[in-house]
Amino acid sequence: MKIRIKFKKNGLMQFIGHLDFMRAWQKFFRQSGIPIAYSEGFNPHQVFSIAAPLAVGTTGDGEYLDLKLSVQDYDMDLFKQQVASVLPEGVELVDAIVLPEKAKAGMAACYAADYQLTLSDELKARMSDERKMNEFFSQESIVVKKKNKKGKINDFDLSPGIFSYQLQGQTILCRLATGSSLNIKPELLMGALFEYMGIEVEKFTDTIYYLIHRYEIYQSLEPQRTLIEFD
Amino acid sequence: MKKLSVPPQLLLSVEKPAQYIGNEINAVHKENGTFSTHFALCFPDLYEIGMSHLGLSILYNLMNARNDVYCERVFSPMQDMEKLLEDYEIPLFSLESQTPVQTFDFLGFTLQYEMSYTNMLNILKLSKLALRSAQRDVTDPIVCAGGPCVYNPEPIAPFVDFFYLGEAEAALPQILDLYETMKNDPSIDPKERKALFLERLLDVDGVYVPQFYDVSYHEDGTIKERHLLHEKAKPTIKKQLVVDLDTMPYASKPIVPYLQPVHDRIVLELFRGCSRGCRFCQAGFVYRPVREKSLDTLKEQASELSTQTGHDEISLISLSTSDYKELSPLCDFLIDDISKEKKVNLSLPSLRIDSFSLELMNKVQDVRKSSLTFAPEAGSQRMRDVINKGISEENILHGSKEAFLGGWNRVKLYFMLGLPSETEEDILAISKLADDIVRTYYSIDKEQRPKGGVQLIVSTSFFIPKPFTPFQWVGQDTYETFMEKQALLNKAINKKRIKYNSHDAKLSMLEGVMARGDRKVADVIEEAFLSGASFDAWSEHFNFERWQEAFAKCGVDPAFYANRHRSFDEILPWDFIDIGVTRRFLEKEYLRSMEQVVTPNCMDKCMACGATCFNGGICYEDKN
Repeated sequence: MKIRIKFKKNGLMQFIGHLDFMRAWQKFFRQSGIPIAYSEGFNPHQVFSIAAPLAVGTTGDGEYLDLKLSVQDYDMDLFKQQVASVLPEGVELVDAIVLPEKAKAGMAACYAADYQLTLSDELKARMSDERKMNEFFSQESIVVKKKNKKGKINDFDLSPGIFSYQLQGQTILCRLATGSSLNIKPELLMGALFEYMGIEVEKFTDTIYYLIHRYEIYQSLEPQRTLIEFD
Repeated sequence: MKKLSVPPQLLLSVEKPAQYIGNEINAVHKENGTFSTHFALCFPDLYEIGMSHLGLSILYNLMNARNDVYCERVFSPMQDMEKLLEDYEIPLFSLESQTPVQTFDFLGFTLQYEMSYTNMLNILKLSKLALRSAQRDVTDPIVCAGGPCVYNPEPIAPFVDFFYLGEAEAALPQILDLYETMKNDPSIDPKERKALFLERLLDVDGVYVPQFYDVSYHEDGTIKERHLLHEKAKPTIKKQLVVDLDTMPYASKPIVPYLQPVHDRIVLELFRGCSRGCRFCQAGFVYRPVREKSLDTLKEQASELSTQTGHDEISLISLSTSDYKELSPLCDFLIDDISKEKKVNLSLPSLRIDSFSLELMNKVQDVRKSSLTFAPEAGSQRMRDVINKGISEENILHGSKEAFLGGWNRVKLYFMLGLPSETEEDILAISKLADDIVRTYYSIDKEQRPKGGVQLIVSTSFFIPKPFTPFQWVGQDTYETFMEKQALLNKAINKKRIKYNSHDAKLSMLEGVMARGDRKVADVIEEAFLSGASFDAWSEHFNFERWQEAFAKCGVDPAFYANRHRSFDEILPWDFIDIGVTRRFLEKEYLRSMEQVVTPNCMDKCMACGATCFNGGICYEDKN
């Protein structure tokens, strides 16, 4: 049977990179005692995948992981209890559902995500011109340089992937395209914004930085459905 | 989220921030006020190296099992982090509670290789502590050190308040008890505590407090005499060890790092000591006698470790795993009950190649046949007899044949250059042996040998004479001789089927100085460090010129320590340490080596090395 877990990744766990985090889940599952399925072949590995990786330093409240059990009809209350009991501080189980037969894999289902970008006091002070920030977001196209998988640098237009935004004091709330067909990394958006505002943020310092938090991931916006909501 | 020493936004600007936060699975957290002794345990190298070390895990669990002690980890920060700490003036901190090292009761180093000495000094500097004990404040942490390097503590004696010789389980608890009592004694002024504690340590076996000793030298630089500066200072310090490994505490809940360490797996320790007596091997003498864990203990520990860690791999560790008496039933258990049952792969260390181990390897690595490793150490039989490496050419060729028939076609061979009495013939024998192994492959019927030809990898390292071996008196080859010998071998090796891995000998030469240095070498280490040396074990950081300048500036001749042949009459810097094995035995072994007489191993015959003084282990088996 297939299960989708919704979880949070916060606190110190933000410093654990995606690959290390994947290896950590393998250990959590082993410790939990759930009958997770193993792949066939000479080098069997646990069958699970994370819907959308989080970059180091990004926290998340609506993260998703798909996994397969080697048995059918496993008791979901027991499942949740077993998994929750081994998770460390900073990783929290929100929910777990049996995945409908026809559901797409989490990775393929991602369409959009909500982010909260919080500017440090000093960074906000340097970006106090809200009119100019609004101007940035309302441009026809926001072209940045982006390296493709082969390492070639191409022009890449962010604007089709920015679904909405909202300036709220020190924070920027935005809904960005997420997934395999179009994916906007918040760091890329912030880079373009800094350039437009004419400020340079090459490396974080103790006073110049911003925090990235991902609230939720959606499989569709109309109707609005998260990765564990199905009709 | 706990408070970090380095603000989160800054942590995000360095590489691999996960190594600085101490939130791993099974990391121990204790509330302030619940313990009284705070111990910073440091492996002076990168996190990913230190976290692969079993000894660190043993110490961590041993200390944290006590309520009165809180032991936390400290590692060398990577260079980007080091710069950040300096830029923002953040003192080096422990991982678990992010507390400045400066404020701990103890700062303890585990020293596994000489080339980490400059890293140790760097830890002191980053912790805002003076390098030399004499210059540190009375309220600064007590700096101590243990591990294989401290069997010759003299080159780092001025930096360390006390050394511990032997296995921590044996007498470390007693040391901690002593400190606890003193810390809780209101009549002792905290400002006088350190001095008083170091004095009281003179009553504890296995502890060496260098400040209570002085050394005088002859005009030629050799040691004239060691002077005791305190009435209680013992003339010899005896190594401490655990006799019964079954009842000894072990690390049942080792920390499981998120950041992938060099070895990311369960490590099961089978036994301590080695019965083989290879004459170049320090571990083979200082860890005597052999003491095994019982099969039942190991089964229990393997099961517990696999549940506690969630690791998907288990490996076996000891000096010569093939010698474990119950290896066969142990492996059956690991394969059936751990590997198949819990999907934890068994990874085997390099074993002696015989039919048992090939069968075992077949069982374990069903299809992926990675390479096999042999360590003949020397090419000629004469040379192997000199070093007492009990393996014959026939063993090697037969083993290779078995391996080829078993489906392996990648073989790695390890040798040493510069062994005592080595001749050109001995060196060329390495290439001949490698050729013979290739020939063995082609002598097998085409249908029976693995396809794709044979791949042979020959690696050589340079011999470094170590204290407490029969070769402790021998002069090491000079840099030039090493490089000439390497070039000779390189020319002789048939590159068509054989790949040769060679190195530069500068590091080996320096290691030779550190390994057998005396107190005068401390000045050189300090000078090299102050002029920028650190991470010397990492070839990309190692800068030999810096060391040459340091030698020159301190007026210390490296050849005096590395290349000089010592006579039996000379007082060696480490003679005051008693490892159980006697100097007399080492002398005899040296003389036998020069006559190419092999010495049987402890399993076959007792040669009265002296290790019986510990009243246990292999020395007393089957002799009741």
